Amino acid sequence: MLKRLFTPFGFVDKRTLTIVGIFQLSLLLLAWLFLVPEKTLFPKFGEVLAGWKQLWDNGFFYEIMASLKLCLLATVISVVFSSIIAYSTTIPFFKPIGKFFTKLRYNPIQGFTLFLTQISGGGRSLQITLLVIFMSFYFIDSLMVMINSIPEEDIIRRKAQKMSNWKVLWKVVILDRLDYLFEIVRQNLSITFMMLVSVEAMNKAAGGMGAILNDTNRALNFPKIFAIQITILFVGILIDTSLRFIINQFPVNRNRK
Amino acid sequence: MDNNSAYTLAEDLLVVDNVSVVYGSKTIIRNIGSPQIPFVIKDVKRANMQQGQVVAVLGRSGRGKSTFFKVLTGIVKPTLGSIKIPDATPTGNFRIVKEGDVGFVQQNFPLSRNQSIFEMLQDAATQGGIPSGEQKELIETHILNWGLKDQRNLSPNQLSGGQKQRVAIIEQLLCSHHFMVFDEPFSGLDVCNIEDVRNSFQKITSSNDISTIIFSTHDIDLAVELADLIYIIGYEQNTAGHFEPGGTIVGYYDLKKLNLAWQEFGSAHKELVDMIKNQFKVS
Repeated sequence: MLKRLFTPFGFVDKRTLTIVGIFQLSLLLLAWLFLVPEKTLFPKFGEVLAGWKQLWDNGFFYEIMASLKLCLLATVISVVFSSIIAYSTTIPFFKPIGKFFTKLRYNPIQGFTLFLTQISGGGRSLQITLLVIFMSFYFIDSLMVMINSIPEEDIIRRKAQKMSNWKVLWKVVILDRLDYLFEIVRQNLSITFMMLVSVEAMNKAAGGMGAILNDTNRALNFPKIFAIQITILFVGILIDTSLRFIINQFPVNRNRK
Repeated sequence: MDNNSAYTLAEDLLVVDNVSVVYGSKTIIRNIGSPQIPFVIKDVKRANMQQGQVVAVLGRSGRGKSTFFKVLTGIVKPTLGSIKIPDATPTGNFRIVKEGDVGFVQQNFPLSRNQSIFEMLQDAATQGGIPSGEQKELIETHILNWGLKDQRNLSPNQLSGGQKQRVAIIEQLLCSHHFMVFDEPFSGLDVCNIEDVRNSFQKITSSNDISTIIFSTHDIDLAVELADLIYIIGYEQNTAGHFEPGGTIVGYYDLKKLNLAWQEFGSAHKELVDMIKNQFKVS
């Protein structure tokens, strides 16, 4: 077993792998508990816990909710917008528009912040606008890759069933690949989560974990900074796990024969 | 001719009329169904039995079989020529084939990723114009007849290759007419699955007098064993000995006329196999 654990492509069962994971995490925790020197800026485990309790007592729960709400709202708007752009690329006229959007990933939007503030009216709307724009470029690109990799035979099958091209789009591209849409959201949401913190810091009045992190950073309160960072990480993992659960409910992911 | 082989030919069921497909400057297939070698499938009548037909299209890789099948099923519009089938009206006229007229069972039996078998068949029945009140009973009958009762609510990733193929066949039975094109149905199958496909062919052709299967394969023995008609697609050699671009019909065997159709595979069949193999080498 031990040899297999250290051999490339060595097969180990899921249970063993979980035990190995727990062991590695425990090592990390132990190192944090006992190996952090006394005089250092790196906060101790107990300090972080105390910092987290202080944050919680001061309404950290509402900040987490504010971040989640912003993330959810921006994601829904972005998914709707990106889906319309990406699915429309099956119509030749709209293909160049979709391709143009994917290229915009390389264009930082920070330069347009003032312009976007004017359009959106600033505040929460600006945060949502920035996140939607940022996310959409990635969603559109991933969705277009998915659409372009649909095998021709899937489309021929439906055409041989007398389906119109519009119905083929609905059945083959949209309905039959809805699980991919969730998967694309899941894969790209981690980048968005990083962006979320910066966007929230732009308008602290609206609250959110990003706003708190920004303030705490300025105060150089490292235990609290760590507490916020770890919370952001856990919230992200929770969203990721929820999306995985939804993806696993699709028939294509049911237990294989 | 013994009684087992006695047959008569009735009206035309499918006519391939000088079909060519050209993409840009590349000729993929040309003049299939020419006056020299017509590609016409006629209704075969045999006494006291429903006798559908099995037509094999053979040829080396890259000779345009798949493109020809896409034209036959109306998926690809030919650059020249047309595929004609009888009009549904009693006028006896012919019309050009369109998508959905000819069933198409593709090589890898593609199915929906996120539907159960029953849902897929319901889609096919709706497309076939079967009234919604009759769909459930008809689908259940097919599921039972094709041995998929236990798989009714499963999704394709839970099915074996043979089961997937049966679902693909039922889909086409529900939404198409009496023609069914199979693109390399035996490719990559084990002996049991091959037997499954043979049984499927038998089931389809004995279901209706005008049921017609057109299939391609690289297994010449199997083609000679199963088919009533064999067409060979290949490249024609010109007088200088060079291949002309574009696959066309270079050989045609009517196994009914040769008294080989509906017979046990024997030495005469073997001779035909050898003859076809030799033809492959020069096309």
